Amino acid sequence: MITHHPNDALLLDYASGAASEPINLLVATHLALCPCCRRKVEDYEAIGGAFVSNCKSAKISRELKADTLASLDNLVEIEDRQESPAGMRSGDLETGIPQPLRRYCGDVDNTDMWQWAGFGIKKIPLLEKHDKFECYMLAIRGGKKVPSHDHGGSEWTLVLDGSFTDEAGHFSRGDMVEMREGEEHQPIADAGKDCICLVVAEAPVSLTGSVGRFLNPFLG
Amino acid sequence: MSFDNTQQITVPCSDLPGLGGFVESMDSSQSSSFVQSGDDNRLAQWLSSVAIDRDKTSFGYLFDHLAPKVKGFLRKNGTSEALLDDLTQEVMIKIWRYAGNFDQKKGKVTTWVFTIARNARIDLIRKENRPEPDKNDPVLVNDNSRGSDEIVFAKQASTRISEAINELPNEQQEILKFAFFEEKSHAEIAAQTGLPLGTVKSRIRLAFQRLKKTLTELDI
Repeated sequence: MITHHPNDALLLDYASGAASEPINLLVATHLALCPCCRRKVEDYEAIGGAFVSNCKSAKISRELKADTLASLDNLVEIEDRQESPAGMRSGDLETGIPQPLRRYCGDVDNTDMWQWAGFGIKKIPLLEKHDKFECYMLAIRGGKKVPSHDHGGSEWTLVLDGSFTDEAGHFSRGDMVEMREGEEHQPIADAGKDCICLVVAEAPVSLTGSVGRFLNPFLG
Repeated sequence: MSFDNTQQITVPCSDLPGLGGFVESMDSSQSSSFVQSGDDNRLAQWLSSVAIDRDKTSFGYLFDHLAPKVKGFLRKNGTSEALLDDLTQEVMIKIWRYAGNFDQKKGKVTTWVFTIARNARIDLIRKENRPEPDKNDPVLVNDNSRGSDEIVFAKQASTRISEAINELPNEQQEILKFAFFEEKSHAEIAAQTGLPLGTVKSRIRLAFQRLKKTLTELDI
Protein backbone atom coordinates (compact mmCIF):
# COMPACT_ATOMS: atom_id res chain seq x y z
CA MET A 1 0.00 0.00 0.00
CA ILE A 2 1.57 3.25 -1.16
CA THR A 3 1.37 5.99 1.47
CA HIS A 4 3.92 8.52 0.18
CA HIS A 5 2.99 10.05 -3.18
CA PRO A 6 4.60 12.66 -5.43
CA ASN A 7 3.20 16.11 -4.70
CA ASP A 8 0.75 17.85 -7.04
CA ALA A 9 3.49 20.11 -8.40
CA LEU A 10 5.52 17.16 -9.68
CA LEU A 11 2.45 15.48 -11.19
CA LEU A 12 1.58 18.76 -12.91
CA ASP A 13 5.13 19.02 -14.32
CA TYR A 14 4.70 15.52 -15.74
CA ALA A 15 1.23 16.18 -17.17
CA SER A 16 1.97 19.60 -18.65
CA GLY A 17 5.11 18.38 -20.41
CA ALA A 18 7.37 20.76 -18.47
CA ALA A 19 9.35 18.07 -16.66
CA SER A 20 12.61 16.86 -18.13
CA GLU A 21 13.41 13.23 -18.84
CA PRO A 22 14.75 12.13 -15.40
CA ILE A 23 11.71 13.58 -13.61
CA ASN A 24 9.39 12.04 -16.20
CA LEU A 25 11.10 8.69 -15.64
CA LEU A 26 10.66 9.00 -11.88
CA VAL A 27 7.00 10.04 -12.05
CA ALA A 28 6.12 7.52 -14.78
CA THR A 29 7.65 4.69 -12.73
CA HIS A 30 5.61 5.73 -9.70
CA LEU A 31 2.50 5.94 -11.91
CA ALA A 32 3.00 2.34 -13.03
CA LEU A 33 2.58 1.33 -9.38
CA CYS A 34 -0.03 3.90 -8.35
CA PRO A 35 -3.47 4.04 -10.05
CA CYS A 36 -4.51 6.92 -7.81
CA CYS A 37 -1.76 9.21 -9.12
CA ARG A 38 -2.53 8.05 -12.68
CA ARG A 39 -6.06 9.38 -12.20
CA LYS A 40 -4.66 12.69 -10.97
CA VAL A 41 -2.46 12.99 -14.05
CA GLU A 42 -5.52 12.33 -16.23
CA ASP A 43 -7.25 15.19 -14.44
CA TYR A 44 -4.32 17.49 -15.17
CA GLU A 45 -4.37 16.39 -18.79
CA ALA A 46 -8.06 17.32 -18.95
CA ILE A 47 -7.02 20.80 -17.79
CA GLY A 48 -4.47 20.79 -20.63
CA GLY A 49 -7.30 19.84 -23.00
CA ALA A 50 -9.31 22.82 -21.77
CA PHE A 51 -6.34 25.09 -22.46
CA VAL A 52 -6.07 23.73 -26.00
CA SER A 53 -9.74 24.11 -26.81
CA ASN A 54 -10.02 27.61 -25.39
CA CYS A 55 -6.78 29.18 -26.50
CA LYS A 56 -6.83 31.75 -29.25
CA SER A 57 -7.04 30.14 -32.68
CA ALA A 58 -4.03 30.66 -34.90
CA LYS A 59 -4.22 31.26 -38.64
CA ILE A 60 -3.72 28.17 -40.72
CA SER A 61 -2.73 28.60 -44.33
CA ARG A 62 -4.54 26.75 -47.08
CA GLU A 63 -1.20 25.28 -48.13
CA LEU A 64 -0.66 23.68 -44.73
CA LYS A 65 -3.97 21.89 -44.93
CA ALA A 66 -3.43 20.79 -48.53
CA ASP A 67 0.07 19.64 -47.74
CA THR A 68 -1.08 17.69 -44.67
CA LEU A 69 -3.91 15.98 -46.55
CA ALA A 70 -1.60 15.11 -49.43
CA SER A 71 0.95 13.59 -47.08
CA LEU A 72 -1.55 11.12 -45.64
CA ASP A 73 -1.19 8.86 -48.65
CA ASN A 74 2.55 8.64 -48.31
CA LEU A 75 2.68 7.70 -44.67
CA VAL A 76 4.64 4.62 -43.88
CA GLU A 77 2.54 2.43 -41.65
CA ILE A 78 4.23 2.08 -38.29
CA GLU A 79 3.56 -1.08 -36.42
CA ASP A 80 2.57 -0.65 -32.82
CA ARG A 81 5.63 -1.42 -30.81
CA GLN A 82 4.71 -4.26 -28.50
CA GLU A 83 6.93 -4.42 -25.48
CA SER A 84 7.79 -7.96 -24.72
CA PRO A 85 7.99 -8.48 -20.99
CA ALA A 86 11.54 -9.67 -21.47
CA GLY A 87 13.38 -10.70 -18.38
CA MET A 88 10.20 -10.91 -16.33
CA ARG A 89 9.55 -14.04 -14.35
CA SER A 90 6.13 -14.88 -13.01
CA GLY A 91 7.28 -14.31 -9.44
CA ASP A 92 8.43 -10.81 -10.31
CA LEU A 93 5.05 -9.12 -10.39
CA GLU A 94 5.21 -8.01 -6.77
CA THR A 95 8.82 -6.92 -6.86
CA GLY A 96 9.82 -6.46 -10.51
CA ILE A 97 11.03 -3.17 -11.97
CA PRO A 98 8.08 -1.66 -13.86
CA GLN A 99 8.18 -0.05 -17.28
CA PRO A 100 9.32 2.51 -18.28
CA LEU A 101 12.25 2.12 -15.86
CA ARG A 102 13.12 -1.42 -17.01
CA ARG A 103 14.07 -0.04 -20.41
CA TYR A 104 16.50 2.38 -18.78
CA CYS A 105 18.16 0.24 -16.12
CA GLY A 106 18.39 -3.15 -17.77
CA ASP A 107 18.45 -6.32 -15.72
CA VAL A 108 18.96 -5.37 -12.08
CA ASP A 109 19.37 -9.04 -11.15
CA ASN A 110 22.62 -9.08 -13.08
CA THR A 111 25.25 -8.17 -10.47
CA ASP A 112 27.63 -6.91 -13.17
CA MET A 113 25.30 -3.98 -13.76
CA TRP A 114 25.97 -2.55 -10.30
CA GLN A 115 28.86 -0.34 -9.26
CA TRP A 116 30.10 -0.66 -5.73
CA ALA A 117 29.79 2.62 -3.83
CA GLY A 118 30.92 1.54 -0.35
CA PHE A 119 29.03 1.24 2.95
CA GLY A 120 26.86 -1.61 1.65
CA ILE A 121 25.59 0.50 -1.24
CA LYS A 122 25.60 -0.17 -4.99
CA LYS A 123 24.57 2.06 -7.90
CA ILE A 124 23.58 1.93 -11.55
CA PRO A 125 23.96 5.37 -13.15
CA LEU A 126 21.17 6.29 -15.61
CA LEU A 127 20.80 9.13 -18.12
CA GLU A 128 24.40 10.07 -17.51
CA LYS A 129 24.44 12.81 -20.13
CA HIS A 130 21.73 14.84 -18.48
CA ASP A 131 23.07 18.18 -17.29
CA LYS A 132 20.37 19.20 -14.81
CA PHE A 133 19.75 16.00 -12.91
CA GLU A 134 21.62 13.02 -11.56
CA CYS A 135 19.69 9.82 -11.96
CA TYR A 136 20.62 6.38 -10.66
CA MET A 137 19.41 3.12 -9.20
CA LEU A 138 20.51 2.55 -5.65
CA ALA A 139 20.69 -0.74 -3.76
CA ILE A 140 21.17 -0.57 -0.01
CA ARG A 141 21.96 -3.85 1.69
CA GLY A 142 19.25 -4.87 4.17
CA GLY A 143 19.97 -3.52 7.66
CA LYS A 144 22.55 -1.00 6.40
CA LYS A 145 22.50 2.62 7.39
CA VAL A 146 23.14 5.28 4.74
CA PRO A 147 25.46 7.85 6.33
CA SER A 148 23.61 11.01 7.26
CA HIS A 149 23.73 13.51 4.40
CA ASP A 150 22.14 16.75 3.36
CA HIS A 151 21.13 17.86 -0.11
CA GLY A 152 22.50 20.49 -2.45
CA GLY A 153 19.19 20.63 -4.31
CA SER A 154 15.93 18.71 -4.38
CA GLU A 155 16.29 14.95 -4.37
CA TRP A 156 13.60 12.33 -4.99
CA THR A 157 13.77 8.68 -4.00
CA LEU A 158 11.31 6.08 -5.24
CA VAL A 159 11.38 2.70 -3.52
CA LEU A 160 11.03 -0.31 -5.84
CA ASP A 161 11.89 -3.24 -3.62
CA GLY A 162 12.64 -3.76 0.05
CA SER A 163 12.04 -0.79 2.33
CA PHE A 164 13.79 1.84 4.42
CA THR A 165 13.04 3.99 7.41
CA ASP A 166 14.24 7.51 8.09
CA GLU A 167 13.20 10.44 10.29
CA ALA A 168 10.14 11.04 8.11
CA GLY A 169 8.74 7.52 8.22
CA HIS A 170 8.74 4.13 6.59
CA PHE A 171 9.01 3.76 2.83
CA SER A 172 8.29 0.68 0.75
CA ARG A 173 7.50 -0.26 -2.87
CA GLY A 174 5.98 2.66 -4.77
CA ASP A 175 6.59 5.19 -2.00
CA MET A 176 8.33 8.37 -2.95
CA VAL A 177 10.18 10.81 -0.72
CA GLU A 178 11.26 14.32 -1.66
CA MET A 179 14.15 15.99 0.16
CA ARG A 180 14.65 19.71 -0.29
CA GLU A 181 17.87 21.65 -0.39
CA GLY A 182 19.48 21.74 3.06
CA GLU A 183 17.35 18.95 4.49
CA GLU A 184 19.19 16.11 6.15
CA HIS A 185 18.21 12.49 6.54
CA GLN A 186 19.62 9.13 7.44
CA PRO A 187 17.81 6.25 5.75
CA ILE A 188 18.22 2.77 7.20
CA ALA A 189 17.32 -0.17 4.96
CA ASP A 190 15.06 -2.60 6.79
CA ALA A 191 16.65 -5.91 7.61
CA GLY A 192 16.05 -8.79 5.25
CA LYS A 193 16.37 -7.89 1.59
CA ASP A 194 18.20 -5.16 -0.30
CA CYS A 195 16.33 -1.91 -0.67
CA ILE A 196 16.27 -0.94 -4.36
CA CYS A 197 15.44 2.68 -5.21
CA LEU A 198 15.40 5.06 -8.13
CA VAL A 199 17.01 8.37 -7.15
CA VAL A 200 16.81 11.65 -9.08
CA ALA A 201 18.71 14.63 -7.72
CA GLU A 202 19.19 18.17 -8.94
CA ALA A 203 22.80 18.39 -9.96
CA PRO A 204 24.62 21.02 -7.91
CA VAL A 205 26.02 23.71 -10.15
CA SER A 206 28.84 25.06 -8.00
CA LEU A 207 32.34 23.65 -8.20
CA THR A 208 32.41 22.90 -4.49
CA GLY A 209 29.18 21.05 -4.99
CA SER A 210 30.71 18.93 -7.71
CA VAL A 211 33.77 18.17 -5.63
CA GLY A 212 31.55 17.35 -2.68
CA ARG A 213 29.58 15.02 -4.89
CA PHE A 214 32.71 13.39 -6.15
CA LEU A 215 33.77 12.73 -2.58
CA ASN A 216 30.38 11.66 -1.37
CA PRO A 217 28.87 8.82 -3.36
CA PHE A 218 25.47 9.18 -1.68
CA LEU A 219 24.80 12.51 -3.26
CA GLY A 220 25.34 10.98 -6.66
CA MET B 1 -17.33 30.41 -22.74
CA SER B 2 -13.71 31.03 -23.51
CA PHE B 3 -10.95 32.25 -21.27
CA ASP B 4 -11.60 35.91 -20.89
CA ASN B 5 -8.68 37.64 -19.37
CA THR B 6 -9.63 41.16 -20.32
CA GLN B 7 -10.71 41.89 -16.77
CA GLN B 8 -7.43 40.72 -15.42
CA ILE B 9 -5.24 43.10 -17.36
CA THR B 10 -6.15 45.88 -14.98
CA VAL B 11 -5.38 43.80 -11.93
CA PRO B 12 -1.83 44.35 -10.74
CA CYS B 13 0.00 41.09 -10.57
CA SER B 14 3.35 42.31 -9.39
CA ASP B 15 4.72 38.97 -8.29
CA LEU B 16 4.28 37.41 -11.70
CA PRO B 17 6.16 39.45 -14.28
CA GLY B 18 6.11 38.72 -17.96
CA LEU B 19 2.59 37.41 -18.27
CA GLY B 20 1.48 39.92 -20.87
CA GLY B 21 1.80 37.30 -23.57
CA PHE B 22 -0.85 35.12 -22.00
CA VAL B 23 -3.46 37.80 -22.25
CA GLU B 24 -2.91 37.93 -25.97
CA SER B 25 -2.83 34.17 -26.27
CA MET B 26 -6.20 33.74 -24.63
CA ASP B 27 -9.33 33.79 -26.70
CA SER B 28 -11.68 36.49 -25.54
CA SER B 29 -14.27 36.18 -28.28
CA GLN B 30 -17.19 33.92 -27.51
CA SER B 31 -17.81 32.97 -31.11
CA SER B 32 -14.50 31.31 -31.89
CA SER B 33 -14.57 29.07 -28.87
CA PHE B 34 -15.85 25.92 -30.45
CA VAL B 35 -15.94 23.33 -27.77
CA GLN B 36 -19.41 23.41 -26.28
CA SER B 37 -20.54 20.29 -24.48
CA GLY B 38 -21.82 18.60 -27.63
CA ASP B 39 -18.83 19.56 -29.73
CA ASP B 40 -16.47 17.04 -28.27
CA ASN B 41 -18.96 14.36 -29.34
CA ARG B 42 -18.85 15.72 -32.86
CA LEU B 43 -15.05 15.60 -32.83
CA ALA B 44 -15.26 12.05 -31.51
CA GLN B 45 -17.56 11.04 -34.40
CA TRP B 46 -15.16 12.45 -37.00
CA LEU B 47 -12.29 10.77 -35.23
CA SER B 48 -14.16 7.49 -35.31
CA SER B 49 -14.75 7.84 -39.09
CA VAL B 50 -11.06 8.46 -39.51
CA ALA B 51 -10.19 5.44 -37.39
CA ILE B 52 -12.64 3.00 -38.98
CA ASP B 53 -13.07 4.22 -42.56
CA ARG B 54 -9.87 6.26 -43.00
CA ASP B 55 -12.28 8.98 -44.10
CA LYS B 56 -10.45 12.05 -45.37
CA THR B 57 -13.50 14.28 -45.38
CA SER B 58 -13.90 13.75 -41.64
CA PHE B 59 -10.21 14.35 -41.22
CA GLY B 60 -10.64 17.63 -43.10
CA TYR B 61 -13.28 18.70 -40.56
CA LEU B 62 -11.00 17.67 -37.71
CA PHE B 63 -8.21 19.65 -39.31
CA ASP B 64 -10.35 22.78 -39.65
CA HIS B 65 -11.40 22.62 -36.00
CA LEU B 66 -8.26 21.40 -34.34
CA ALA B 67 -5.27 22.74 -36.30
CA PRO B 68 -5.91 26.43 -35.39
CA LYS B 69 -6.26 25.46 -31.72
CA VAL B 70 -3.20 23.23 -31.72
CA LYS B 71 -1.12 25.93 -33.38
CA GLY B 72 -2.45 28.56 -30.99
CA PHE B 73 -1.69 26.35 -28.03
CA LEU B 74 1.85 25.54 -29.16
CA ARG B 75 2.73 29.17 -29.84
CA LYS B 76 5.38 30.34 -27.46
CA ASN B 77 7.65 33.33 -27.50
CA GLY B 78 10.46 32.68 -29.92
CA THR B 79 8.83 29.88 -31.89
CA SER B 80 8.92 30.69 -35.59
CA GLU B 81 5.84 30.39 -37.80
CA ALA B 82 7.56 27.75 -39.89
CA LEU B 83 8.33 25.59 -36.87
CA LEU B 84 4.81 26.09 -35.53
CA ASP B 85 3.40 24.91 -38.87
CA ASP B 86 5.67 21.86 -38.80
CA LEU B 87 4.60 21.00 -35.26
CA THR B 88 0.93 21.50 -36.05
CA GLN B 89 1.23 19.28 -39.11
CA GLU B 90 2.99 16.62 -37.08
CA VAL B 91 0.20 16.68 -34.48
CA MET B 92 -2.50 16.43 -37.16
CA ILE B 93 -0.73 13.52 -38.83
CA LYS B 94 -0.47 11.75 -35.48
CA ILE B 95 -4.22 12.28 -35.04
CA TRP B 96 -4.76 10.58 -38.41
CA ARG B 97 -2.34 7.79 -37.62
CA TYR B 98 -3.45 7.00 -34.09
CA ALA B 99 -7.17 7.80 -34.35
CA GLY B 100 -7.89 4.17 -33.50
CA ASN B 101 -6.21 4.54 -30.12
CA PHE B 102 -8.64 7.17 -28.93
CA ASP B 103 -11.14 5.84 -26.42
CA GLN B 104 -14.11 8.08 -25.71
CA LYS B 105 -14.85 6.20 -22.50
CA LYS B 106 -11.57 7.39 -21.05
CA GLY B 107 -11.76 11.07 -21.84
CA LYS B 108 -12.36 13.83 -24.31
CA VAL B 109 -10.92 14.34 -27.77
CA THR B 110 -9.40 17.66 -26.71
CA THR B 111 -7.59 16.01 -23.80
CA TRP B 112 -6.20 13.38 -26.14
CA VAL B 113 -5.14 16.07 -28.63
CA PHE B 114 -3.44 17.97 -25.80
CA THR B 115 -1.32 14.90 -24.94
CA ILE B 116 -0.32 14.51 -28.61
CA ALA B 117 0.65 18.19 -28.86
CA ARG B 118 2.57 18.00 -25.59
CA ASN B 119 4.48 14.92 -26.70
CA ALA B 120 5.24 16.41 -30.13
CA ARG B 121 6.75 19.46 -28.45
CA ILE B 122 8.96 17.28 -26.24
CA ASP B 123 9.91 15.00 -29.12
CA LEU B 124 10.59 17.57 -31.85
CA ILE B 125 11.66 20.70 -29.98
CA ARG B 126 13.38 19.31 -26.91
CA LYS B 127 14.40 16.05 -28.61
CA GLU B 128 13.86 14.08 -25.43
CA ASN B 129 12.09 10.85 -24.67
CA ARG B 130 9.03 11.02 -22.49
CA PRO B 131 8.86 7.82 -20.47
CA GLU B 132 5.31 6.65 -19.75
CA PRO B 133 3.83 3.65 -17.96
CA ASP B 134 3.12 0.76 -20.33
CA LYS B 135 -0.44 -0.48 -19.96
CA ASN B 136 0.61 -3.94 -21.18
CA ASP B 137 3.35 -4.25 -18.57
CA PRO B 138 2.55 -7.23 -16.30
CA VAL B 139 4.11 -5.31 -13.39
CA LEU B 140 1.69 -2.37 -13.77
CA VAL B 141 -0.68 -2.12 -10.80
CA ASN B 142 -4.23 -2.04 -12.13
CA ASP B 143 -6.95 0.23 -10.93
CA ASN B 144 -9.53 -1.86 -9.12
CA SER B 145 -11.17 0.91 -7.16
CA ARG B 146 -12.20 3.19 -9.98
CA GLY B 147 -15.75 4.29 -9.32
CA SER B 148 -17.72 6.74 -11.42
CA ASP B 149 -17.75 9.23 -8.54
CA GLU B 150 -14.00 9.61 -8.89
CA ILE B 151 -14.12 10.63 -12.54
CA VAL B 152 -14.54 14.34 -12.17
CA PHE B 153 -12.49 16.03 -14.87
CA ALA B 154 -12.71 13.50 -17.67
CA LYS B 155 -16.45 13.74 -18.15
CA GLN B 156 -16.66 17.54 -17.91
CA ALA B 157 -16.78 19.56 -21.11
CA SER B 158 -13.66 21.61 -21.72
CA THR B 159 -15.79 24.75 -21.50
CA ARG B 160 -16.78 23.86 -17.95
CA ILE B 161 -13.21 23.22 -16.94
CA SER B 162 -12.25 26.54 -18.51
CA GLU B 163 -14.99 28.32 -16.58
CA ALA B 164 -13.76 26.71 -13.39
CA ILE B 165 -10.20 27.85 -14.19
CA ASN B 166 -11.51 31.37 -14.75
CA GLU B 167 -13.01 31.33 -11.25
CA LEU B 168 -9.66 30.53 -9.66
CA PRO B 169 -7.78 33.35 -7.95
CA ASN B 170 -5.43 35.06 -10.44
CA GLU B 171 -2.32 33.79 -8.73
CA GLN B 172 -3.46 30.17 -9.21
CA GLN B 173 -4.60 30.70 -12.81
CA GLU B 174 -1.28 32.25 -13.76
CA ILE B 175 0.65 29.26 -12.50
CA LEU B 176 -1.48 26.87 -14.58
CA LYS B 177 -0.90 29.06 -17.64
CA PHE B 178 2.83 29.09 -16.98
CA ALA B 179 2.75 25.29 -16.81
CA PHE B 180 0.62 24.58 -19.88
CA PHE B 181 1.41 27.44 -22.27
CA GLU B 182 5.01 28.16 -21.32
CA GLU B 183 5.92 24.60 -20.40
CA LYS B 184 7.53 25.70 -17.14
CA SER B 185 8.09 23.29 -14.27
CA HIS B 186 7.13 24.41 -10.78
CA ALA B 187 10.82 24.97 -9.97
CA GLU B 188 11.23 27.12 -13.11
CA ILE B 189 8.10 29.09 -12.21
CA ALA B 190 9.55 29.75 -8.76
CA ALA B 191 12.90 30.81 -10.23
CA GLN B 192 11.30 33.09 -12.83
CA THR B 193 8.81 34.78 -10.53
CA GLY B 194 10.98 34.91 -7.42
CA LEU B 195 8.23 33.17 -5.46
CA PRO B 196 9.39 30.63 -2.87
CA LEU B 197 9.16 27.04 -4.14
CA GLY B 198 6.75 26.19 -1.32
CA THR B 199 4.38 28.98 -2.41
CA VAL B 200 4.28 27.72 -5.99
CA LYS B 201 3.62 24.19 -4.76
CA SER B 202 0.81 25.24 -2.46
CA ARG B 203 -0.82 27.33 -5.22
CA ILE B 204 -0.80 24.30 -7.48
CA ARG B 205 -2.33 22.14 -4.76
CA LEU B 206 -4.97 24.72 -3.94
CA ALA B 207 -5.82 25.26 -7.61
CA PHE B 208 -6.35 21.55 -8.09
CA GLN B 209 -8.50 21.16 -4.97
CA ARG B 210 -10.61 24.11 -5.95
CA LEU B 211 -11.14 22.94 -9.52
CA LYS B 212 -12.17 19.54 -8.29
CA LYS B 213 -14.62 21.05 -5.84
CA THR B 214 -16.16 23.36 -8.46
CA LEU B 215 -16.50 20.59 -11.02
CA THR B 216 -17.99 18.18 -8.48
CA GLU B 217 -20.56 20.74 -7.45
CA LEU B 218 -21.44 21.43 -11.09
CA ASP B 219 -22.13 17.77 -11.44
CA ILE B 220 -24.69 17.52 -8.66
